[in-house]
Amino acid sequence: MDQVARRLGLYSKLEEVGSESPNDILIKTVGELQRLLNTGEAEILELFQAAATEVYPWKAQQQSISYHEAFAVATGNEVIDRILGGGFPFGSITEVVGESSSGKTQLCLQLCLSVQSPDISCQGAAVYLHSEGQFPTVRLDQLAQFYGHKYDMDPDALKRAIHTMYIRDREMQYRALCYQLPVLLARHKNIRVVVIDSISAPYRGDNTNKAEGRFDRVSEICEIGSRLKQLAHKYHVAVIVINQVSDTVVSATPGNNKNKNTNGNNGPPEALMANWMDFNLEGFNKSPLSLFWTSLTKKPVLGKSWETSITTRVRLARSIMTDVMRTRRALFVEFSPLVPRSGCEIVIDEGGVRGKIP
Amino acid sequence: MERSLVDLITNASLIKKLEQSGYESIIDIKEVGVVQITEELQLTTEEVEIILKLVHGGHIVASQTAEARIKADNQKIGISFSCKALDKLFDRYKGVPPSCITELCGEPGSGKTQICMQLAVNAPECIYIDTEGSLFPRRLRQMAETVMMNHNASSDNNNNKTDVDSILNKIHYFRVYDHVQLIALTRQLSNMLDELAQVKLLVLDSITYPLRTNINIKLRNNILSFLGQNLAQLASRHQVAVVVTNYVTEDRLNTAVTPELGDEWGRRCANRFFLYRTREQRYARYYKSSLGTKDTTIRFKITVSEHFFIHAASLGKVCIFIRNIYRTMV
Repeated sequence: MDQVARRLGLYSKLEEVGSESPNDILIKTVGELQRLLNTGEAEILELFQAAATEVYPWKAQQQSISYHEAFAVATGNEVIDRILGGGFPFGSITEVVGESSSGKTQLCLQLCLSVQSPDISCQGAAVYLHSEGQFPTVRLDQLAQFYGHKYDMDPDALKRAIHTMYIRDREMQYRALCYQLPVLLARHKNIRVVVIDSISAPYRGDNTNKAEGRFDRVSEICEIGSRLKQLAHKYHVAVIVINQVSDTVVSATPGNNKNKNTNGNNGPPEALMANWMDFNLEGFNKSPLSLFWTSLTKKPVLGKSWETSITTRVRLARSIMTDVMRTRRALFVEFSPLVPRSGCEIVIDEGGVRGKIP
Repeated sequence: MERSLVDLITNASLIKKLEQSGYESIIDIKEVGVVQITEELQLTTEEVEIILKLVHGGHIVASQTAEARIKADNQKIGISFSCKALDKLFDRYKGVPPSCITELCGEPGSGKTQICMQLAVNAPECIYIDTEGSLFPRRLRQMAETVMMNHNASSDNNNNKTDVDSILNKIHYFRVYDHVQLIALTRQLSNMLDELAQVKLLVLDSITYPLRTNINIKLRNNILSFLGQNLAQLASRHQVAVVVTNYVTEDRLNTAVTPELGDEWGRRCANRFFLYRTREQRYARYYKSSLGTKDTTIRFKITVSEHFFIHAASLGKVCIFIRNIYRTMV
C-alpha cells in the first residue's frame, strides 16, 4: 500500500496524520479520508484497494474445505463420542456448562489424558487453566493410573504432559489468555487441548453491577472469546471452556400455579421446559427428562454475548439429590453445528466419565 | 441539498415501495439502475414511467425497454433451500432470490449456519465468508454427499454425475477474524465477483460477530452502513443472492427478541427470516418480504441427511402461537 500511497503523493500526508498502516485506513470512510488528505474520491478508492489487498489478499487467503482425518479429540468413551459426533473439535471453542459437581472437571481431566492416547493420530499435550481453587491433583492421580494402565504408558509421563496454571483473578485471566497462552502454544506445537476451568469464576467476585462495569465486562469477555477462537484455529487446538450456571428467575404470576402436576409436586415451568422438549436421551423411548429439569432450566452465566463466541455447548446435568434415589447424571449436546441435539446418561467412576445406555 | 423522493413523487404506492426498500434519493435509484428497481419492486408501467422521468428528465435512455428486460430476468432462478416450503415462499425463484439481501437471524443454535451451508452446497458457485468459525468441513461434506446422491440418482447418463469434491471446490471459503479483515475483503468483492463470474451466492456468516462491543459506536455504525451499502450494490450489480446471518438481542421491556444491528441495516435486507426453536420443532418466520408475501411461519427440520423438510399441517395455528411470544418483531 505504501507504494500506491507514494505514487498518489499521499504518503507524507498519511504519515502526518499518523495513519500509515492499512488497518487505520480501512476503518475510515471515504468522506473522512477525503477531508484528511484533501484529494479526490478516485484516489481514495485506489488507496482503499491497495490497503485491502495488503491486509487480506483474497487469493492467498482462500481456504480449501478439506478436513483432517483427526478433527476432534475423543473422550475415549464410545457412547459419549458418538453423541458428540467424534469428540471435541479442534479449531473451535466448546463450552461445558453445568452446576457444581455435575462432572465438568472430571470430563475435562479425562480429555487431557485421552488426547495423549497412543492410538490416535492427533496425540498431543494439554493445558489446564484453573481458577476454582486447588487443582484436583488427587483425582488426576486416579485417572492417570487408570489411563496409564489402559494406554500402557507411565502415569507420571501422562501427568507431566499437562501444563497447569492457576488463575487468581480477572486481570490474571486476561493476561494469561491474551498474552501467555499464545506464547505457550507457539512454543509447544504439540498441545492439542486447552481447558479453562472455569472462565466465569474470576468474574464472580467482581462486584461491578454498575452500568459501566458491566459493559467493560461484556466487552472483555467478547474480546477473550474472539482471541480464543483465533488461537484455536491457528494452532489447531480444541479449546474447552467450563462455565457455571445460575438459577433462572421465573416471575411469580398466578399463572405459574399450573406447574403443579398431578402428583402435586412442582413441575418445571412450562416456558422453560419448552426449550428441552425435543430431546431424547439415548436408549430411552420415553425420556426421563423430568429427572433433570432443575439442572436443565438453569442459565449459563456470562450472558448472550458470550454465547456467540462458542461453537458448541455441552451441558452436564444431574437429578435432584434425595436420600431415596440414586443421583443420576446426564450429558446433553445443547447445540452443535455437527450433530443434532441429543443426550445420554452418564456415570462417573475411576475411569472418568462414561456413557451409560439402559 | 438533495431533495428526497417524497418531495418528488406523488404516487403513493410507488413511494411506499421505494421507501420500504431503502431508496431515499434519486442517487440511490441511479446507482442501482431503473431496470433493476423495476424488477425488484415489481413496478407497474405507469410507475416505471414516473421514475424514468425523474432520472432521465423525460428521455428514455435504456437500450432495452424495461418490459423486455423483465421478461429476460424471469429466467433468473434462486438458490434452493432444499426445503419445499421455504422454496415455495419465493415462488418465482424457487429459493433465495438473487440480486438482494436475505437476512437470517436467530439465537445461537437456531440453524442459521446450517441453512447457509445447505445453500452453499446447492449453489452453482458460492463465496462463503465465515466470521465465526462455525463451518465444519465434515458437516459440509455430509451435505454435499447427500446432494451428490440425489443428483446422481436423478441423472441418467454418466456424464452428468458429480462427486463431492467438485461440489466442495465450488465453495470459495474465507475465514475472517475481525472487522478490519471483513472490510478489506468486502472492498475486494467486486473484483472477485468479476473474476469468479459463475458465483451466484454470497454468504456472510455472521455480520454481527465482528461488530460486537469492542469497537466504539460511531465506528460500528460507519462499518455497518459501508457493509450494507456495498452488499446491496454487489447483489444487484452482479446479480448474486446475498445471505447474511444476524443475532437477536433481548428487548427487556417487552420480553421479546429483536434482531441486532438496528433499523437502518434492516432496511437494506429485502427479505428477513427469524429462526427459532420451541418445544419439539424448529421454525423459520418470514417477516419481511420483497415479494409482498405475508408474514409466514414455516416449520423445518435439520436432519442428518442434510435435508430440510416441513410438515404441511396446521401452519395457521403455529402462526398465532408465535405471534404472542414474539410480538415486537416488525
